[in-house]
Amino acid sequence: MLLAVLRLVHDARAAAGDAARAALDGEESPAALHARVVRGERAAERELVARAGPLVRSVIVQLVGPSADLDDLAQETFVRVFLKLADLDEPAALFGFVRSVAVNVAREALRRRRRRWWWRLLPSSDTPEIPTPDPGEGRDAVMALERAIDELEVEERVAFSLRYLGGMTNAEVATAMGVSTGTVKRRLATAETAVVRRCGPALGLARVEEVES
Amino acid sequence: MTEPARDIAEERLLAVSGELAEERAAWLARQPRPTVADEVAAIRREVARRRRPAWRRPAAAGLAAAVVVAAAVLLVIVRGPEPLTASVAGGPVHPGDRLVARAEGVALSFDDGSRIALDAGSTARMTALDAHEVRVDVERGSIDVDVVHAEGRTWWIGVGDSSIEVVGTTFRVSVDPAGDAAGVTLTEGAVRVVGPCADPREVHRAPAKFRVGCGPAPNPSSPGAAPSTSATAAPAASSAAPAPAAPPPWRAARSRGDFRAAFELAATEGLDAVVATADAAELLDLALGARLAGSPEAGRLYQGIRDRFAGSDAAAGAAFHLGRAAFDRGAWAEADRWFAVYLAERPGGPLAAEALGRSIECAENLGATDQARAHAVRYLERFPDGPQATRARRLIEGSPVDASPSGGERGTSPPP
Repeated sequence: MLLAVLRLVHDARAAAGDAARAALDGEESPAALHARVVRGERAAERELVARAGPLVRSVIVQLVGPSADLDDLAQETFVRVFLKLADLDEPAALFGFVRSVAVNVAREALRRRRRRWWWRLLPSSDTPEIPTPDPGEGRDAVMALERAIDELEVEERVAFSLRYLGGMTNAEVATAMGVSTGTVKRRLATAETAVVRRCGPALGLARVEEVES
Repeated sequence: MTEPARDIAEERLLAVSGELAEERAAWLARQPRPTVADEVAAIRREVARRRRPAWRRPAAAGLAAAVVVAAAVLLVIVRGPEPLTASVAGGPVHPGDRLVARAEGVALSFDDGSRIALDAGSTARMTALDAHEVRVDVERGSIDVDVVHAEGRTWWIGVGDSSIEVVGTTFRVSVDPAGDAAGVTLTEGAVRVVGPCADPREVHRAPAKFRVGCGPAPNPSSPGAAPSTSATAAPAASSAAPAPAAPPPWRAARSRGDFRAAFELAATEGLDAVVATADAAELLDLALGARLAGSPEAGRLYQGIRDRFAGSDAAAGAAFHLGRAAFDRGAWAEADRWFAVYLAERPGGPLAAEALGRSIECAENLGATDQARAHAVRYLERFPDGPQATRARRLIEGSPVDASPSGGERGTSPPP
């Protein structure tokens, strides 16, 4: 029962996000904005960056975590958006397109970071900046979850972060990642199992092990 | 993992990941963000760089660089630059076309990322456009030039009998009323001037200001003589008809996205006149410029929007910004009223979450606990995942809420 309620809350969060996005879109339709940007109107370019900027930065922080590279990754996202915008098949899906580009940019950043870890050449600017610890109750669990997410494989990490941190549905995660819903489900199952194994006790999941045994 | 175990695990993951998401959102909210104008400028530069053929981009290093550069040189010799096209508002522009910017400025876009923006009241003619040469002759007014350099292609800006040769550059040309000379403000790169009264061997490098043409600088006291505001009637009519009103300089700054400069220029002109004549979008941008400049005149501009454009989106946005300004100086009651105005005028507006969240803080700081709880309930109903959700939940549950800046009412002017 409790789980059902939590799922409803989680879905409500996603719905609220959609509502906020719709409200943002309400200023001018995405298709109209897309047409103006493609025509080369500078004001439209500024409007797109102003309206989609928070979405882009939010997606990057959800996937990469707090990082000194935030501005660079956001800029890279918009550069790719502007380069590909004229080829967009569905101008009405402008902001979904921006989000999927941001997901790809973040995904590549995670892969680069992983390679640097492998070579032990991680520069300090790429080291995640852990927010100032809040001594409040539950902080240990949050930190343990953060570490567990950092250890996931990139594809599992992206799916997990979009679903759990971004409040997206499986279908939305699939669209943003450019994969099928089935693939998302498989990646989520793998990620959930790995996270629980790595930080189960910190999450208060000792009972899980008991149930398993 | 068994089904019950999976349920318990997912339950805990949902709860803890919600906290982690809120932490990251709070971190993000603390990060400074570059201005939109700066962001767009950087994005455009990078887009233009990537649109160049690969052989013209800087290579990584070493042998690869040498190979690429050699290939690029060879390709320049063999192929020359890519063909170039230009457009205004999506419509193609051809050699011989005349560009007239009436009430609004006009942006001439090239497919290599170069741009030439004409201020309102300016005219120019595209006299050459091919793979090797682009030439735009400015007849009247002021233009901003932003050219992406390409090997094998020459850009010219013509003024009277003079020509400015461009080398990957950003600059502004303001033609004198007579149309045969101009003031040039070079902000990036380098140019060379060819024509009477010019030394073609001299290369002007940024930052620089200089004149093109033979005439002396126009007398600033004569109407329409200032370079950046120059405008003239057709030669045949110039002796009989008065020159049309020149566009104010702040509009040109605004069209470039430099809102701070636009505000400062508007303040020089006199804000009362600007508030009385500018449209709502212009006033919003000027108010943003005032905020960027740290000027209290932002409030005057927002109030002007409220007075002149009541009922519009801009007026609602102005109410929010007036509330935020009051909030920042600790005038909680005034801020709360302005946020209430915004929420009443745009209950589903893009700033509704922030207005409602700040209303919670205002009520708390005023000691109005019941009102704060009422705001919190409303907030959670509408924005359960909003940045103030945790605060709202704690408030409703009666737990202590994180201390926020508190203080007495310091502002005085209530909203209408």
